[in-house]
Amino acid sequence: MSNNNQAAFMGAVRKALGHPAGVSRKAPPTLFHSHPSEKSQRLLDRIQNRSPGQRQVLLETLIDAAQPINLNVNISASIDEAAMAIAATIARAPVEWTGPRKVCIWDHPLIQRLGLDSKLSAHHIPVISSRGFFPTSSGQVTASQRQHLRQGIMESFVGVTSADYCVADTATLVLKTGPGQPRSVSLVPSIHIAVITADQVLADFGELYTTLRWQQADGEPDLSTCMTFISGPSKTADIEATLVHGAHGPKAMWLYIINPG
Amino acid sequence: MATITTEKYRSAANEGIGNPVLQDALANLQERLGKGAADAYRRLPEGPDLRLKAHDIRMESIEHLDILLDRLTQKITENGGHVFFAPNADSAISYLRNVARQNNVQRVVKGKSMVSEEIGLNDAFSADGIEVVETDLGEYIVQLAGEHPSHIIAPAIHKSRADIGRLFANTIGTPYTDDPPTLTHAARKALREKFLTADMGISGCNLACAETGHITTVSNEGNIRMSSTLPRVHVALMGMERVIARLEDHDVLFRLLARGAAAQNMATYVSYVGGPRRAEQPDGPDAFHLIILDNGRSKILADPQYREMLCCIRCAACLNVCPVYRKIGGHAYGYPYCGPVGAVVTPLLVGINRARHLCQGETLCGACRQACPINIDLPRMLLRLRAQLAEGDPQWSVSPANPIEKVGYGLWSTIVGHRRLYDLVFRAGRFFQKYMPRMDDMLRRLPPPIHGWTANRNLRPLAEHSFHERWSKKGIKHEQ
Repeated sequence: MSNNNQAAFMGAVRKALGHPAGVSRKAPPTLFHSHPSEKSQRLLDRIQNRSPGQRQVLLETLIDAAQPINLNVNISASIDEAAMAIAATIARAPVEWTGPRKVCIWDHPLIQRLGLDSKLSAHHIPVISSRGFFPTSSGQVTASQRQHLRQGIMESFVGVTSADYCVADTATLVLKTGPGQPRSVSLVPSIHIAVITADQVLADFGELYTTLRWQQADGEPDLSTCMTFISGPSKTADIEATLVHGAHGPKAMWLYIINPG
Repeated sequence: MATITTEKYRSAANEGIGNPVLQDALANLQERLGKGAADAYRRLPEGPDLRLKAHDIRMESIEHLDILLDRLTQKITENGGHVFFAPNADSAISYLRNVARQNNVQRVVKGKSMVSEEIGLNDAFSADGIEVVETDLGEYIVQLAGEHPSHIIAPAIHKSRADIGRLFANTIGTPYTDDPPTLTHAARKALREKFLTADMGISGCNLACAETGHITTVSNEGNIRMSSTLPRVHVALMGMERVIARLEDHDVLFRLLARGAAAQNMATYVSYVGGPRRAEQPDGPDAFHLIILDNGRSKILADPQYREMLCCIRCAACLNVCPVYRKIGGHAYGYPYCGPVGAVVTPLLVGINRARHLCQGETLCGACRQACPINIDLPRMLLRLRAQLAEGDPQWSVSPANPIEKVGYGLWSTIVGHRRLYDLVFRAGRFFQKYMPRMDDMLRRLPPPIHGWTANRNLRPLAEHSFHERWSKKGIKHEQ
């Protein structure tokens, strides 16, 4: 849809700010940065040079932050150990809506290596992978593929994703969408399980935003069309300020961190 | 446009004060969130002074608003989104109607959006036969009850669990219960059905990032993620002031927003949305529209003394500490924006004379500024509004609200400026007060036009001898 209003609208804004209405202003050099500031550079160095001991401290911070928001954190020494624990968690978990138990997972290297398919088949729980919906040769996901995937996610009681980062300070996961990584896997099923490796953990939001901003080689941040921060299961306190989990999103959430030590 | 009932401030305030459920709920809310936010600011590694940094970031954004909006628009358009600039509510509504028509929309799910309340979106869509479902639990409750929200982030604060139990029994057929988890689950079930079948999702916008071209939405429930992920079309509504320049500045603002709004370290969900689903992405909406609304904001921007108000991010921290809001509740403010933020922004948006009670009702105690994550000087702007109402101001088309009061204060100013006149007036006062009705040695009723002073309280009478007289009698000479 074309937008003839923009010029007039911007004119009104410029006029209100005391500038000529008809002339576009150039951004002063202080407004957008083309290089990381000293502080950002310091943070980037800190992330780069984090020792195993410091990483351990971050994990402890993360566990402390996760507790009050009812995010269950489990640290495993290997992928296999994590996979066993995840399969056990899923097998124990109750179904919220009617229908057979299904699990949907991201098409992601780390999630593939868990081999949930075979581990859950013992419990007769089918796994729906976003892999089957990976772009065709044309690079597009067709409408029927999407409809099929949506149905599968809707019928799943557990969604398993990875994440791009995790912020220890607030126990926040950062998930970008992309091919094979649907947004709804962490949202629609009753339980969300996320799996990451310990080197994805950052200390705080300062480190996160600096990474997001400056990590790309071309200096252009890539947040994808939808990047979501998740700090624990969905909650509400809209009825007499009583905390209830599972307002619309997942009622419960697990985070598995693989830390070979 | 939203319904404006700012003229009924006095009667609505009295209703609020007389409602025991509301009084308990608001006291409870302020004890929890008001104090919680102050504690949360203190726990910040940078301490409460981080709010000053946030103020700088927001002021810088406002001063460069044109540049930031241009950049935001360019980025979102590059990513396949549509950006529409709406000078007023009607223009925003007619754009929304067009999008709905072109996409054959029958059902809309809506996340909390103050701007959607401001433009009166629900009424407009209902008139077109389009179902609009509020999905924030509090908003859903208020919508089922046919009421308006009474708090920016706790819309149903005025309803008890028993009220909600009865409401759900009568509207969505849930067997009566007053158990919050059971009621929440009932709403979860009913709304899940709506999310999965809606054609359009509407959200607000907490902040927008010009540098990367994303809007951000914040919620604890996940309803905004649902509304912006599952339907075919996502429309986001944004007040034009909500943009900031740099991604890295979101660190400061979001940490403060979560603390100010709900005494949390971080909200459960924060999403950065930069456009519709790309061809290779498996889910998300096919179309994304961003509506950027002026609707009176450029007038606020043009006045350097009110420009600061555009830094506001509508977190509701000021509601959680305001002694006036605590007693009268949100409905008294007669417009979607209530509490101290409403007392400043509503007069500026709907007319200062029309909404004059709002700023006159506040106490100027300064609690709102202390609570504000951006450290906005609300008391200063309340005073400015009152000054405009006292003196009149053609620039804002304000006529003096009470000419008699103005004459009265002029007279008073003359009296206190002249010692002899002052003594004379008080001598007369001491004489006439003998004839006023009393109770327990207090004056019970003053005559018109000053009877308002004793409408709600008794007044101590003037002393037999003024302090000045007693001082002189002791033989100590008054220094001129």
